[in-house]
Amino acid sequence: MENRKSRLFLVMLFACAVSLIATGAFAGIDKGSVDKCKTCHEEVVNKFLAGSHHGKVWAKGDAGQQYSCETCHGPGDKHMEDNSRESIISFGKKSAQSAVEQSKQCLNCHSKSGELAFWDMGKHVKNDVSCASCHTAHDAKPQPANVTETCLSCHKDVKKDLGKQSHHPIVEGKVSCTDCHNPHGALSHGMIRADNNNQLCYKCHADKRGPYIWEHDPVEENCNTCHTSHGSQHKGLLKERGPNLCQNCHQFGRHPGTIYNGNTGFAGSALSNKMIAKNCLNCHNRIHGSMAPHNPAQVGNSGKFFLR
Amino acid sequence: MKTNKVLPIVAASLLLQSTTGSAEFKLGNFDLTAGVGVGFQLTNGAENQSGYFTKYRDYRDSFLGNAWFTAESEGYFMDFAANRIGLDDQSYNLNGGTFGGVKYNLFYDSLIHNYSVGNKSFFTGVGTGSLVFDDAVVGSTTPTNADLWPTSFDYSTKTKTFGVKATYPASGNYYLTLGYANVDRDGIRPSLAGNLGTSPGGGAVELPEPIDYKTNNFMATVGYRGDDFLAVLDGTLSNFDNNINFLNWRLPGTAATTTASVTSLAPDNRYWTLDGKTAWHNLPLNSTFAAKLGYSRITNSEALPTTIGNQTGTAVDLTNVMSDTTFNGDYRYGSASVAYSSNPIEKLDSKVFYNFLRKWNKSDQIAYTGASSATNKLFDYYKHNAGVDVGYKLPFDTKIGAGYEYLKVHRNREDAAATSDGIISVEAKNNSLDFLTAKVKYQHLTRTSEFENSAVGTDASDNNYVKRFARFFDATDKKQDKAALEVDVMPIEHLDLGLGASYQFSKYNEDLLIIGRTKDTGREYFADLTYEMPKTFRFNAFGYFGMNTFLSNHWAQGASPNNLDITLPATDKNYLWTGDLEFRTWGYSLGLDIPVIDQKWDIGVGFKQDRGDGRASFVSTRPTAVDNPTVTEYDDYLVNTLTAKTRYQFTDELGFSLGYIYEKRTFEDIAYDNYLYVSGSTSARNYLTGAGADNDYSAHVGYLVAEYRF
Repeated sequence: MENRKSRLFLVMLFACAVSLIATGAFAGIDKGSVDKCKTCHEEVVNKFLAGSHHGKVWAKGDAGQQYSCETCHGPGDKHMEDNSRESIISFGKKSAQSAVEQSKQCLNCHSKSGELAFWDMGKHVKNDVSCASCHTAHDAKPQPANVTETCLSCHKDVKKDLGKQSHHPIVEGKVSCTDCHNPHGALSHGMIRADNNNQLCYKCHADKRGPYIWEHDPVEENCNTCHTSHGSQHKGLLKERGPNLCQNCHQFGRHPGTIYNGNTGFAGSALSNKMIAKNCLNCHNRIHGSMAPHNPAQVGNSGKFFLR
Repeated sequence: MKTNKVLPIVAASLLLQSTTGSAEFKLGNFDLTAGVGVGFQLTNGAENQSGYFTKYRDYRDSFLGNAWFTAESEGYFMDFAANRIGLDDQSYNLNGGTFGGVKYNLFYDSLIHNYSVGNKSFFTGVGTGSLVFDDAVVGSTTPTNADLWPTSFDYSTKTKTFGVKATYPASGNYYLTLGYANVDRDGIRPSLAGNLGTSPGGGAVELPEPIDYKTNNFMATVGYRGDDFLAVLDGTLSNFDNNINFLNWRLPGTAATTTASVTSLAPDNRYWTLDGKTAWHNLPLNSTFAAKLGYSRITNSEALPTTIGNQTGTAVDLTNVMSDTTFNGDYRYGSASVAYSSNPIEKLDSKVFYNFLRKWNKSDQIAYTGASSATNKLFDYYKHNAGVDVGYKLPFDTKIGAGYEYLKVHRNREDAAATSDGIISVEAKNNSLDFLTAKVKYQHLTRTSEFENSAVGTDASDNNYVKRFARFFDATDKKQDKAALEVDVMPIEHLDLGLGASYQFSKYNEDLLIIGRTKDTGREYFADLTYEMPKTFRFNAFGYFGMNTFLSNHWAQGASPNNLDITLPATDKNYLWTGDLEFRTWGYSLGLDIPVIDQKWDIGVGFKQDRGDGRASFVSTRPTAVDNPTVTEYDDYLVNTLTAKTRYQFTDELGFSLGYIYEKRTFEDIAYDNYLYVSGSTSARNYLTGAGADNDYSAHVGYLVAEYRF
């Protein structure tokens, strides 16, 4: 009940704030320029002015800077003479302009966004991805209707991972690519929205942050030592399953060095709890770190070995 | 999950499309369009067959409801969407603001995570921090008869996130963004712990872990943006509170009056970050300079258990053996990044960058003294990363690129004090044909490790001696080659074909006899086809295949005395063996959408199949041969999904949608096949609750929704 009351209060607060704040910083439409384009593109222009985000922002203005089709598409006089694609700035795969030239048109207005601060540093600009590759300025909403589908239209290698048995809820619509990645550029590897992998994962997986008394070093350094982010054949988004994943590093003592073969399942002649269910994690379950004490008299129930 | 999420999201609507366009009606000064959808979904009860079917979805017999509206006035706009109202995967999103001015977003999202259904336990108190059992009910202090277990439950958690965000103003040189998100997560998740308290050799007990988390996230951004200069200050604060930090549970085999075992759960923490970012654009030589400084800290203060039960349930008082009964955790991270990109001439682009990251561990060290003393080690590291990328445009719409990256990591780890990576990459891309784009990339990595254990252990009977040969794959010598090829073909209009292949090959400690991973490979292929006849049909197909292999050496060790020198001849007690693992995944999907009557009636059908297949085989040098049969069922799964839907618009306002989903999953894995709740011998008995054993299902889902647009 308390949560609902506080949420309702916040909603009302925002509604009041919006009603009190009026900026009136709008611009107008250069109708003369627009009419030129209408001679051939009437349907597109009308739809843009009436139905697109840009059209409505520009239209709800007063005297001041004027916008028109030429704001984005460049001067249209030559295009009216020769009707060629090359004589006008267009957007998309068939454009006569490079991706950088196309993006420049958008950045004339939108470069002042904090989201685009590192556009020049990102992988997208390096790979000739332009604003128009993902956004359509003529649409009602400038953001892609389905962010995940937009990303997967190019990143098909990721698409195959999303259907594997273990995956983040991306296809279910609960997590999108932009929750973890900044498509507009970042200084981090993979354009992730954090300085490193772990700090990105901690944004949602707060229960894994620690700090722990007993740390698991490779876990603390990089979640991707053991996990993969998009999808995996193995449960828990693991890159390799246990016990083999654990045995790749842990060789000391008897049971890490033992072969857990086809006889060690439930129906096998040598059932082993290092193979059934969660294998090594049947006992060493606190694998991300532990706060349990160490019992010097009996190490078997010690947090030091992630047993508790 | 949207922890710390304050960005606007429009959740996928089952059916409704939120459209704008000509206003449908006026409400005061607002032009309004709105719609609602009501209906129901029915299933065959598959949600009770397997948690996998409803892993992130709420599929049960229920009503369906969606709603949306868009509103605009002279200076204001508002968009609202509500999806799957009342269900465990419901979502609500409200965006609004003034054109060119303040913008805000409010959202609520519910995420269900079903791990497993139909589980049972001898414990009572499931969902709390105390698990006990009644000998009289379960038959004994060792509850080996699962038929007598009294508690039935599902492993499931629900995460509810509420968030708000506002940016003021949207235009102008300065801006301020504030955001808040509250995340509640509760439920039960499977956990496990060693039984009998002895290791190795003891059994395991599956424990229902109570989840009762609350996270409050705050964010603030202040920015200045000029024509060529931008500066931003970002701050976040996240408080994570776990209502149950320790799980107390009665060890099977101990009396009811004995002291419980204690398993630690997620500790509370406070996490804050502060980042300063700046960028200068339009510098000489068509350049941009960007820099970022960041600092973050994760802290907690936790009272530690001072009394725990041992393997007989006897209370062990640790007060006098631990140096402190409160742990103060403190992780600090500092980061710095600079990058300079330039297009000095039209055909050349370049970038140089440097990143630094350091972790300081300022947590308490708690010393436990006794027969086997231990003090927690504090793990720190720091990383230097630098690189250069260059690209050049050649004739015929060809672009080539090359890059070099260096990464040095220092870590206070026992095995490897530092690793150095050198990564070389080259790539080429061609667009010379209107209908064809091709890209090829190659990368080579060489990693060298400063191995620290080359002289540990006195002799081959010393348990530490084997560390001389053990290499951990994440921080050891490594050579890796990666290659990738992608082709996009559009031979005719509306036909789009994408093909891709990639290969990865890694070798660890080549030419050295070690134990640990020695090699891993990855191969992936995909094909993606879309063909569309506008206003007639749209067909898409996707197929993929992937294979990963892992090869590793191991040294079997019998009971002491041991021979831990792997270079010596094998004995029946100590010998070298190799694990050879192979995992394959493949699948395909087909989809066809047909607008039978334009703007009035459309139908769609689809089929999807995903498969996984794994195996593990072993080669042993043991002198007396022992059968080591290959594991043939190793994450083997098959999922078939069939979908059909139709949408019919009676009038401009009224329409309905009808849909059907069939999905069948089978899973075979040595770890779950022939599942037993109780297994193992008396001294190594395992007690499980069924988590993850409900893998197979056959599901039918149908839905019908009527939509009305105002």
